[in-house]
Amino acid sequence: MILQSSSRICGIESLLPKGQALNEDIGYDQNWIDRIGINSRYIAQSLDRLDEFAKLASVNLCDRLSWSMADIDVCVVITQTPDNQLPGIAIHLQHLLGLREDAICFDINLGCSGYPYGLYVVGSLLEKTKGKGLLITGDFSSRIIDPLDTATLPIFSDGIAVTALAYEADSNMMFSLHTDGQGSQAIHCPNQGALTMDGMAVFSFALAQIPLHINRFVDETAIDSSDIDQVFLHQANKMISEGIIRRLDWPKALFPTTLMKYGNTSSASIPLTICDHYANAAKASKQLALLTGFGVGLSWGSAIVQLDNDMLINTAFQ
Amino acid sequence: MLPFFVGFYLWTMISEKEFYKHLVQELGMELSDAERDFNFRSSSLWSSMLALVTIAYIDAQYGVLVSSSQMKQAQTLGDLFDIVAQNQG
Repeated sequence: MILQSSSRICGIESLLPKGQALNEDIGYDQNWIDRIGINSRYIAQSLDRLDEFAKLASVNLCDRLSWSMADIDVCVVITQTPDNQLPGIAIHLQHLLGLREDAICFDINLGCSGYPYGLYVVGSLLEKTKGKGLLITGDFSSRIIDPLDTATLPIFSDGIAVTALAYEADSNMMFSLHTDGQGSQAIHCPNQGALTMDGMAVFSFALAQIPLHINRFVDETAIDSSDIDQVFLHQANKMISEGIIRRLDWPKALFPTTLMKYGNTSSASIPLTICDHYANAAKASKQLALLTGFGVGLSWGSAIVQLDNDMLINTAFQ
Repeated sequence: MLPFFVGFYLWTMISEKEFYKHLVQELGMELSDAERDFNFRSSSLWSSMLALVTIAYIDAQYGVLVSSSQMKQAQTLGDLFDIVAQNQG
């Protein structure tokens, strides 16, 4: 099923903690670092708060866009590592950002698949309000990872991204979103516990499901795959990315990667990679981009969006 | 000229040996381990990360995606070769 919404991405602000950890410092040699494609990881300090990161990045982005907080109709946060059990971060942000009381603010519990889901949810709400919205995605994953879990520790990094969306009647974002709850134990974290990941199950799922999903989605949209300018895959690890790219058999140059710079930043990895790519690449007037996230659930989804050259991007450290 | 079945048998033997040799090299194990009956789980190097490397390597080299349950059941290099042989082509 192809879902659609008439919104446009106006800007993205990514924000990472300054604290850094290196896999080479926890016993991973260059051979292993090359295999997983990750060395640097960004780690939030114990007093850092996700809502403060979200506030800072949202304020910076709205300033750059000359948006008033009074114009924001929707604020959705996608995270699995909220500062508190309740209330949700988006609710706190309504107060921290000074959003209107009738702004729609809520959290969604999703991980690495979250970005296309969030674009669809915010875009759908903006269809009704015809206004502007903020989508905040990301996690402080280090808070739920057992430091002794040497298979999971070297993968995940902390960070968030804020995406500013505006209703635009002529814009058309297309989506395909999927869930398979049979895989709920593949990536799992009990209350007050640590995240456990069945790496083999996740790897097999990603390689078996994601190329098939992307091909079907592109076919159903009737878009010629050669018209897609960039593919922003969730940055899981290098073995998964390379497996998906190999099975798709599309030109490798279509797939920017930020794994070596930032690691796996959960639902922030796609917007963070968009920021990184367009900060370093000449941007054509209009770019057709395929965005694909996959992970906890198991869940997966893709969006086809047009990225305009007036889209504002920035990556900052706090 | 060799009968077809003899040629096929020899080809299988060579490719099976090559499979073991390249796999132990990829896994950082000893070349002397490159035997059908070698239990890779008994290696001190074996870990869940190495299991991922094994699946990724077999997918990249042979186009066969070893499932999580197949990987968990496999004990020897021969078990992995049999999965590849049964699923290739």
